[in-house]
Amino acid sequence: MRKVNARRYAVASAALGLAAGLFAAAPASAAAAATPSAQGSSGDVEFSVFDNGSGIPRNSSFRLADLGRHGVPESAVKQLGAGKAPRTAGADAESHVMSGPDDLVGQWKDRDGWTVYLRRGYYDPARDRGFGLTKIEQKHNLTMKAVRATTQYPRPGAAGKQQMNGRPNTYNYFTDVLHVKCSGWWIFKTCRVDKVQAVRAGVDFGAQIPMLPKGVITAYCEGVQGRCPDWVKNAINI
Amino acid sequence: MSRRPVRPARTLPAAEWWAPLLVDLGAVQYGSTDLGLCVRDVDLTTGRARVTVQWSGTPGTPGTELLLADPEAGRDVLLREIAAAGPARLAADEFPPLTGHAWLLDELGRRSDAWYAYLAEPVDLLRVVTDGHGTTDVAVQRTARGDVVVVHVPLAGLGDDDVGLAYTIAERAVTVPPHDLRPAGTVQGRPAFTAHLPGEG
Repeated sequence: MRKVNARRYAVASAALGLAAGLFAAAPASAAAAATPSAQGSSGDVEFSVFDNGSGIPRNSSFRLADLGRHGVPESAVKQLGAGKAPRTAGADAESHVMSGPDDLVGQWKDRDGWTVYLRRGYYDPARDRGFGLTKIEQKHNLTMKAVRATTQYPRPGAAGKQQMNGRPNTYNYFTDVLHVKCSGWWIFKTCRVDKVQAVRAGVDFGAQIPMLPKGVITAYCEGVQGRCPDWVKNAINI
Repeated sequence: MSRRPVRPARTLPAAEWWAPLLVDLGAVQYGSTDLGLCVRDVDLTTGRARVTVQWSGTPGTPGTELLLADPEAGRDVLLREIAAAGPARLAADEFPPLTGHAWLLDELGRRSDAWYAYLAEPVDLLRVVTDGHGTTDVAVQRTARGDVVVVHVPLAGLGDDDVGLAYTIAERAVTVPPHDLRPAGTVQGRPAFTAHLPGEG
């Protein structure tokens, strides 16, 4: 009995500590909003997150404050608690000197440590031809960050990264982006996933362009002809 | 949750059953162009791969038809079957100088997700037929509409900058305006139409 009580005490203390920490760390606007009468902190909020495999519940509700355990920055949780849209990165921060479609504009390690290259590419809407970042942005309304997240946080196991031809050089990555709606008060809002969009990225790893792979051919929302919804690229954890 | 191939390849669960075959045929076509080989027709309509190969210098001949029991048997087996009918070899390395038709076979095989995950409307790749010099026709079944659109793909200059063309072909089949379609008889008993790629023809 004593053990059970001790555990309950520890859990309650941890919850209070989290709330206290958030109170203490909250910006003035959020702290001021932490009253029952405050506007904003009791409103509904919507946002999206890439499913990074941390177990964000899809079929049950969860607390907004729990998002901190799923890789969402504390500052974003607090902003959402205050009824504000967290700042998202928007355009990718990297700056690129543009000169040709095969220019490398990004490279990173995927889930398994493989180097993924992203080229500037091109997109010609009249001919519906293109590849690389330009097509990804202009045709599919995605960003380099969204592609990077897709390759770094694909679905678990083999299902998230699959070979597409008999030679081990073309792969598809799959991940899910979760659209979340929350209602209630401040960081104690109750949240629920209300939409899931699968995102796919196709990557060629075979060396083609002097010693380097072509890299990301394209990325798109499954079953969505053309532009992905804005909430996919605006996910708060990429 | 994710879309899956209509009929997955045995060894590649995310690829359509014909994808490995097209990539392997691309490799044989790359390696054998200067031997006169033309992979004239890849017919997938029956659910088994029926491949017709021809060699230049024998004009008017109908070509040799191969019924490939296992589209995933690998390029060595494929080469043996084709070489039994005439001269053929594999590409000397992974990326030999491109030829348009070989490049297109390879592109279609690498990106079979274009046929089951890319579009809202279901489509299926039925057939890839080339005239041997300027054009390859890609027959796309529009499953829900019960018809077939044959997309003409000009081969001149096809290559690395056209990577992703498989998506363009699949999307063209479902977005081509009706006034740009030309009747072309039937394929598999379904009404067929021809169409050019966007910005072509």
